[in-house]
Amino acid sequence: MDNYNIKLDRPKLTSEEIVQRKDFDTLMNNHEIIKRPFRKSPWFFGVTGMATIGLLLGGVYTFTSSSHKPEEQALQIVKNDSPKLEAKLVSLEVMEPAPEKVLAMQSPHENKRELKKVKNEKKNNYDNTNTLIENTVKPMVEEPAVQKEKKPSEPLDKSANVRSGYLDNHPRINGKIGGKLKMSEVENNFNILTDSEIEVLSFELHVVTEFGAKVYQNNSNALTNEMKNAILKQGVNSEIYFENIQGDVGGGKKMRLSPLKYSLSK
Amino acid sequence: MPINPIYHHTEEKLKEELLWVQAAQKNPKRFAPLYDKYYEQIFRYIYQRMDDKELAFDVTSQVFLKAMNNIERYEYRGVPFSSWLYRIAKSEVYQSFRDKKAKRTVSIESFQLEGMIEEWEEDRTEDNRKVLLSIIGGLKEEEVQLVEMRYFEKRSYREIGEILELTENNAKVKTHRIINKMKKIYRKSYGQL
Repeated sequence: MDNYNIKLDRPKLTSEEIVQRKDFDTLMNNHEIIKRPFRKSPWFFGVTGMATIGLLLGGVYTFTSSSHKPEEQALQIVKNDSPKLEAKLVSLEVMEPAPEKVLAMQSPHENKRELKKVKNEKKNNYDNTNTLIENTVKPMVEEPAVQKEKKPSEPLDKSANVRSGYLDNHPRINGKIGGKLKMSEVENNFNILTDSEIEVLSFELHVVTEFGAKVYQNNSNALTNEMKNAILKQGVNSEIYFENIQGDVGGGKKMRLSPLKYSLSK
Repeated sequence: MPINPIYHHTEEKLKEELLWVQAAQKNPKRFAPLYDKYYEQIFRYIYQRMDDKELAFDVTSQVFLKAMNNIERYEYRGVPFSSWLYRIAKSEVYQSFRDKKAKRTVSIESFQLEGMIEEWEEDRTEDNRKVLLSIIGGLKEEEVQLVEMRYFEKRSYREIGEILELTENNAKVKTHRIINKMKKIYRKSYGQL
């Protein structure tokens, strides 16, 4: 008996009583409400109306705020586009001439990396500094730089200034602006020269030893014995760097020339 | 045993009803004839299983609303439209029990109990009626449904099968098994009295 609520002889409802409760119109209305698409319901107009008003207000606000303060916007653009200040500070620091110094007592690999870093910084400095004096800038020649590199072993001819181009101001060792430098060439000594009237006044030699990177400085365009010994101690395929090469362009004016990099060979 | 005559339709009546259904599928306003025809039947089916009259009216409205909303899915299977309505009603009644946490009601007339006792060739005493009520109260839901439809609502096995989604024969076999089970319990209880 517990499972169900058993009703014995419950009073019966008459058909009239049941039929009285029939209401097809209400049923139809309820059906239409359920089946009515959202676009036809009052909610649709409410939601879309509110959204439209919101968009309009947003648009008006944006328009008015942007038209009243153009100078603020311009200032913001300038702030966003201006370069970082640190870059200039770094370049100024590197400009100072460095005496012979040991950069670090580290492993050769790390020293090499350190040296490259120093070199890059100096390169950046070089790039940022106007090393060419207006008077000495000569028009670009049609002959490309690569063609000049193809004949590095040609004897230097200062009168060859006539083929002047921007490479004429480039320092060279035995006519080469890079690539391989033979041990025999080092043993025979060499000078750093240019194809133009510019005379090299001083330069730095950077070599990487097992004790760290070493920098030698000389106030002439010639190799010193100390430098020569340091280079000869380097093995074949080692790299040597000539940095901070200062040149005299005449009239007491100095300019910094492009750095050099050579790989040692037999 | 007399059975409910409303359910049994002639072929003509079934065809007429199908036309009403097809019209209602095209236009919901044409659902009215079906609503008028089956409202009372469906209400009585629901009220038979519910204690609260008002709730029974609400559930009836819900059944017709669901039928109207889903009439496009209705498929004619050669049986009266009411079998589909009964299935919706059954589902809604059980949903209402779950929502209200109410017990299912079984409405029985005294003469119906006495008719069962007579069939079992027993005396129509007050004690026997109490024992039979106690046996009905202990049946499972599925068993009560079959006994209720067959003995208290006087439905044919075919109609029972269509409402409960059984074959006519299966409904018949299941009902006989339940009656035999009830008889056994009855005789066992009678012996103990």
